[in-house]
Amino acid sequence: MKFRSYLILLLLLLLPSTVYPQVGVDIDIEFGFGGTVKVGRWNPITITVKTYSIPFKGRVEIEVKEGSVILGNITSVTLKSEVNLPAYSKGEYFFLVPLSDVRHPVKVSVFSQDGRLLKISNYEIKELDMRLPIMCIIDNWTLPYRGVGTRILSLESDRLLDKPVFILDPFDVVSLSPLSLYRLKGLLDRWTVLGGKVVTDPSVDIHRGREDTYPGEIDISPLVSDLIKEEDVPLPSKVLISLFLFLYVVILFVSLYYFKGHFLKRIALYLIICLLFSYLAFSLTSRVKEFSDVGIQINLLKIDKNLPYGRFYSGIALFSPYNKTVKLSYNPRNFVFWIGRREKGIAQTTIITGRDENLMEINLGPNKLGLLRGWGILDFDIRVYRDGDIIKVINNSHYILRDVYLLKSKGYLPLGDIKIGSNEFREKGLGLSRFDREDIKGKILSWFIDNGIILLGDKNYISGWIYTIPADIRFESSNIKSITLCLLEI
Amino acid sequence: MITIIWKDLESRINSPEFIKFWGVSLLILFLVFVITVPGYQRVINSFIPKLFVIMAISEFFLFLAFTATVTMGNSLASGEKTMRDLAIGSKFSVFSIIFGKLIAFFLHLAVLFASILPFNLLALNLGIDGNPVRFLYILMVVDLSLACWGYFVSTFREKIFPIILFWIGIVVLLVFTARLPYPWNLINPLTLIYYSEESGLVYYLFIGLSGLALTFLRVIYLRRISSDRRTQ
Repeated sequence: MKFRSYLILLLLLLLPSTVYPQVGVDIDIEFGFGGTVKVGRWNPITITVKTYSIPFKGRVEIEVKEGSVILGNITSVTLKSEVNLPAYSKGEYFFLVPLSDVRHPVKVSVFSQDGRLLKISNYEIKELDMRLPIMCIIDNWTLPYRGVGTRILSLESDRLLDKPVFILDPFDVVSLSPLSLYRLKGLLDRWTVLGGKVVTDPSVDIHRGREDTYPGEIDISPLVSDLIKEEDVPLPSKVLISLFLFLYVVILFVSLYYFKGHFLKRIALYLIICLLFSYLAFSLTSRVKEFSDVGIQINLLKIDKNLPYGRFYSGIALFSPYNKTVKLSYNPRNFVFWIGRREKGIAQTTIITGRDENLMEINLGPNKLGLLRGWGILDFDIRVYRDGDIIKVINNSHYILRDVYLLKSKGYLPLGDIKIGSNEFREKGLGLSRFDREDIKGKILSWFIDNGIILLGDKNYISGWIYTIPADIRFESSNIKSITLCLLEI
Repeated sequence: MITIIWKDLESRINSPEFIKFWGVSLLILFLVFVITVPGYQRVINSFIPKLFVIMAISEFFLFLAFTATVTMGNSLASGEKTMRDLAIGSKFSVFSIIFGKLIAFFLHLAVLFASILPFNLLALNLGIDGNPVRFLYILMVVDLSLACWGYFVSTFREKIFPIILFWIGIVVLLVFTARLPYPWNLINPLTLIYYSEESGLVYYLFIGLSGLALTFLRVIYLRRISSDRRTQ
């Protein structure tokens, strides 16, 4: 009898949890891989949202600040992702953020659809241990010799499948079995182009770390910042506007002065002229601000000799004399973009993240220069073979390389264009030309040589130019010049 | 009242002198625009002026000249009757005379505003943003309240001294009030236009109402004198 009473009491206590299941959402934020992050690299932040009896609509936001209060060059970038989950489901939202400035915490917020703040967390990254190199062991593979002062992280390969290449950026070395290597080959090949080391043999000594990605050694921002200053601002002709207004004043005056009729007709004529010219004035100039921006994108593509990829660095300078938002979208699987550190006074930059496209919105204040930097991997399969004075180039990419040079320490040999398919050049009959530093190509080349990115004394390069914006990058803007310098070491 | 409005507008619209006056005003606006509109620029020396504010201040001065000229009795329209003429020589009621004149002035101001629209729209599209609705509001309120004082001046037989006093008042309003501490500096119409601020218009409500009250008193006085003379 007593047992039955307890059972009934227990059932009564359990009843509310059955009738009124849990309402709301659970939000879990993972910084890096279980809190393991690396300074000077792109690190993942994963936000997991779990819903119960009701669906959830809202957004998650991450705010990253950089710069100094004293120098007044603080930049703020907000990454956003829309959340739309049905009841009893789980969604994972993935962001990549560069960590290099430990002075500012990273702010993670979750908002409901009506804008209510549901959760906010500030991560003080200066408190994290993030200087030492990270070695990632995949699928519990044997631990190789790792030297002193390396952090070890164990991951399942499933976690990396179908993820952007920059998810591996915090790591210096990845150690895995040949089977796991086969599963992750595409991702790891691209990561290798970024400088990563993949080890399948545990006996290999791989204790040396790799260079930092962010801010990294190659920064094209100073070059684009200088080049854009010589560009013209797209403004309508002052002469045409003056003629238009002069015509208006003359027509209005003459028609009113010489029109003989009732004064109401005179007012009607006057209003027709005024409204007609107002309409013309507005419609002819209504898109001036929209098309007011100027942009220069200089890219460097270092083509890998052995893999069908090129390592991509980008520097973008954007300017608008008006208060304008410039939009840039890119494929997040292969590229990352961020505000340049030399930037001052940009009001706000927002990155709306998606699975196949990230949309970056840069709010340029009036007369402000916005600098962006980009890193990534571009599918680019070019192979070069040298046989005596014959250079054979097989171009399996989608791009034609224009004005190709064979760069030497005292000048260059012009080779013409490299078309898609097989190309052959004979070095012997070509004369060495001197670099012209006046035109834009000469300025770019000489800047790379002066800054030690092209080392002509030690190596020979084939260089070519692409004058279109690379695939997977798109500007929703009007006047962007894009020049990509492709470099292939031979 | 409708007759006064009709006749006032008719005489001014048909007046060649007035058309010339406004033609010259638009030519001045054209010159200001041509000088300030941004032209060929490079990124390094790019500068976009506050074109709308520049045009708005220029237009304010032209409308100020229009207000003073039209209301103070030295109208360019030869057929137009001044408030003094109507108070002494007509049978319209005092209310009809004053409000008929004011409404005619307001309608004429609105009609003239249409002619500066192309300048303002171009300034909005080519310069740094402005607030055209607020500018129109400030212009109308300031000009209407000054018109009340202008009409008061027009009720005097002796013209030159009241006109000088009126212009001195405007100069004080435009120059010296800018140096006053906040919120008294908001009495300056140029400050209001520059900052697109409308809270200072409450001062103009006072200025306008006081001018209107004085005009009423003066017109009633003139009407009484004229009826006394007729009786005599």
